[in-house]
Amino acid sequence: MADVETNPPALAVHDLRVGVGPSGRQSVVVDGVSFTVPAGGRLALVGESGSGKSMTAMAIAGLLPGRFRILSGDIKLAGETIDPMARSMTRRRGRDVSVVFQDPMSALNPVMTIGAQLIEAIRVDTAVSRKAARKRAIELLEEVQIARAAERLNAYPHEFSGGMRQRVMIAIALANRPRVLIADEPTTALDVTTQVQILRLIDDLCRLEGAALLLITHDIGLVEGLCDDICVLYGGRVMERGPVASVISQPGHPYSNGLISAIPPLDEDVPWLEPIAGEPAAAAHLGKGPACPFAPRCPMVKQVCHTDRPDLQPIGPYVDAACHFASAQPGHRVNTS
Amino acid sequence: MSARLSHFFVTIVRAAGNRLVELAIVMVSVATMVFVLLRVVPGDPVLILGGLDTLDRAVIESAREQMGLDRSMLEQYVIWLGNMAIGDFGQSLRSGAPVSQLIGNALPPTLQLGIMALVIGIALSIPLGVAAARRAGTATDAGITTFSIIGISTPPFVIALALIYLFAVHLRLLPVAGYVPFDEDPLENLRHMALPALTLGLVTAGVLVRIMRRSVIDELGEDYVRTARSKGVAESRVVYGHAVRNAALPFVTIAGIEAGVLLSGAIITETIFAIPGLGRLMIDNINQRDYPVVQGAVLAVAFIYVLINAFVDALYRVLDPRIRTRLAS
Ligand SMILES: Nc1ncnc2c1ncn2[C@@H]1O[C@H](COP(=O)(O)OP(=O)(O)OP(=O)(O)O)[C@@H](O)[C@H]1O
Ligand SMILES: [Mg+2]
Repeated sequence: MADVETNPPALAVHDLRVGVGPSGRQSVVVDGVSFTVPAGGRLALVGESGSGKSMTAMAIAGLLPGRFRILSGDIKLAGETIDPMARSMTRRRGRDVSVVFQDPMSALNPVMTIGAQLIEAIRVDTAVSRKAARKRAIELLEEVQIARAAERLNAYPHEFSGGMRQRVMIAIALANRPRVLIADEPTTALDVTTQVQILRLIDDLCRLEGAALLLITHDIGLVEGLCDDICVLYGGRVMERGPVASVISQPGHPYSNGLISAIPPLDEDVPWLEPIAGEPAAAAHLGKGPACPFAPRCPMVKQVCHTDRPDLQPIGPYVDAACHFASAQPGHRVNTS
Repeated sequence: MSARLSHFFVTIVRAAGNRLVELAIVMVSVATMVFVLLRVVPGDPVLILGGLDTLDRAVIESAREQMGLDRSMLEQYVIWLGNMAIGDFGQSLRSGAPVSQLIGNALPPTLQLGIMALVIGIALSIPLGVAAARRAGTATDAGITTFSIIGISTPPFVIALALIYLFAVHLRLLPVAGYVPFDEDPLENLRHMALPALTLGLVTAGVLVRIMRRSVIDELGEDYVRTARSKGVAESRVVYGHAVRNAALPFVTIAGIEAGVLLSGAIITETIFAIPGLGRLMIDNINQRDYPVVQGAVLAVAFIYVLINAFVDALYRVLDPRIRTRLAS
């Protein structure tokens, strides 16, 4: 993309901190996360369960659950700083930023028809007539490859399979041609064949609509070939960040390396995988201490890791990592075994 | 919308059909129970009607014979059931008036009272319940919850007396008691019904506010609400168009139960406000051991219960598409 240099990024998050609980006694679940997604670009946010991926995403969309708060940070959509928790965020949702959620079984209203829910999204733009909205709804359902679209408008969510519901969710999310699409583990709840179809659909439609994609997944295997950049989270902090190709071929952080080693190779029949030893840290217990959050599980841990928290620093072209021992030399791969 | 409406009526008719068997079973069971209970309770209608137990024995015996009370209980039961099957509910032992006519007269005030109370209860509880849910944990929520607890825990007669004192005695806006039929003078009818309906309406609202509040809080935490917000839908629409619509399901169930409870609440309320309804009819005639009237009145109440149930069932099917499909297939 030629105008990447001149256009502001579709999404820029700087030093985002999210806490949960009563003020004063908050625990931090997202701790100083920064990344950017260029206009039309694709960023993968990966990390184990509980690493703060969803809360980062929900903070951006202003959809944090009740007891969660944005503590600090700066979020820019197309160069403009937004306050996601403000009332004015309502009119940005669906247009500037849209979300596809993890569980398609519960994400749709069970007592409203598919059509009504789709048309509601379209008619957030008040200028659209009922008739035009219906037409656009049929178009959208066809775009997400739902057959007999016109007829399906009158169906209820429970009459659809998980894959079809996720297609409907994608149609809803793209109804107003958003600048940024956040997909929070959009395929985790689906079977493998459907997963591939849904990811391909997201891929195609984002390209077609020119939407930037923030793909959240704990499955680093999905990321290659789909995303440009990757951002690895652990305990609410960025461990490593950079172009997908470099990070996957030469992970600079032992945690990224561990995640990548846990990917089943496609061409081999591997009976077991190497999981990362130990339990994922709850971000709540981190943040304050001066240690590296990954230290308790790190195979390369040294004394300094327990006393000094490493900052995110460049370790290679476009690659940053938060590790005292991340190597800047190309070709070096951290060994965990 | 009209397609939806006609669908609604079709569902009601079908539900009623499904309920015919149930209806028959309920009615016969209730009839049997009332019949037996009334005759097990001590007290002889002839003696109570006569007022004295020093009456001439021959007079008593002939009276018993006239009323059919000299036959065995089983005989009385079979005759009574047989008569009811052909629509004959018998006559009042006291006045000789047909029971069907007595019930026909008592039904309109009770139904009016019940419907008005239910409308007041629902009209109060939806906005209050939603407001409490949206501001859960705040002073508004605490205030509304307090109102609800007062409604639930205060005996209806206390509420009635408080309302009478305020609106009838103190402000002199409404009559203390009495009843005017609607077709005689609609305005006076409403003025007389206002306080009894408000009494029962407040009791009903107490329960329904709690249900509404709880359900809306639950629904607001659901994923589809987050989806609605993610679409950029205005918050009021998210609440009323999505959360409340789903909260309507448990609400309707409880409202149906409350409608039944209202009927028993009507007995006390009708007595306090001197309304000649079913409740009053029952109480008066239990005291008089006027078996046929009590039996008829209880059956009428049971019949209304079954109707409410069928209606709630149908409404539920209209509101919840998941049940509709399960039924169709
Ligand atoms: N209601 C809550 N109260 C306190 N902490 C919570 C609550 N919900 C989640 N958390 C914490 O917030 C942190 C971040 O959670 P988040 O949902 O963002 O993780 P995630 O990376 O999306 O995980 P997953 O892959 O399981 O979706 C976790 O450590 C979790 O323990
Ligand atoms: Mg998540």
